[in-house]
Amino acid sequence: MANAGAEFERFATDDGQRVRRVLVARFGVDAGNDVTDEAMAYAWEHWDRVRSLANPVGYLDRVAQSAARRHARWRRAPRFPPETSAPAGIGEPGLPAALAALKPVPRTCVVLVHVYDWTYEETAAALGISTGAVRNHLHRGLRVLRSELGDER
Amino acid sequence: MTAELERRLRAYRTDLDAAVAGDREHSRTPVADARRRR
Repeated sequence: MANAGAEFERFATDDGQRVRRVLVARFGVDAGNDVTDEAMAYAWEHWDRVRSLANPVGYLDRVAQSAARRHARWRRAPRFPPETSAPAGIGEPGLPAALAALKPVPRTCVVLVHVYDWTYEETAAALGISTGAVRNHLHRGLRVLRSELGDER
Repeated sequence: MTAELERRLRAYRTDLDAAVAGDREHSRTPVADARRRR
């Protein structure tokens, strides 16, 4: 049990951060943190199984989506923090509102690839989709963002 | 994607990380919680 505890601590530190980034991108800051805690608790309770998975981040993303469906407070509109380096004097809705308006999967792809600099392959693995699907979601997500932000050049 | 949107998204990482860390300060600790439940 002591070894399992140390192993899980390492997992929670390393992969736990990746899980949190996926879920914050998908659900926003508040619900994303909540569902990550729920997913990590699940991971510890089922550690014998989770530790042997090839893609535990993707698995816990699916666990979190199931958990989120059961809790109304996690289905609210996602909250994203203000953008401190927003261009001055632009009367647009702002990046946080534009991100919140995207559908969950395109938003998750945009945040993981363009905010957190994940590769298409890392993003595809975490979301359990193909790299082609990541490319399509990014294309659509960025087109909506450009439109919302008046950035269509 | 335009260079300006790319810059804004990359810069937003700082805001997002700070908000996540701030929100977590007010939440429970998942590992300790999970251990109690196991």
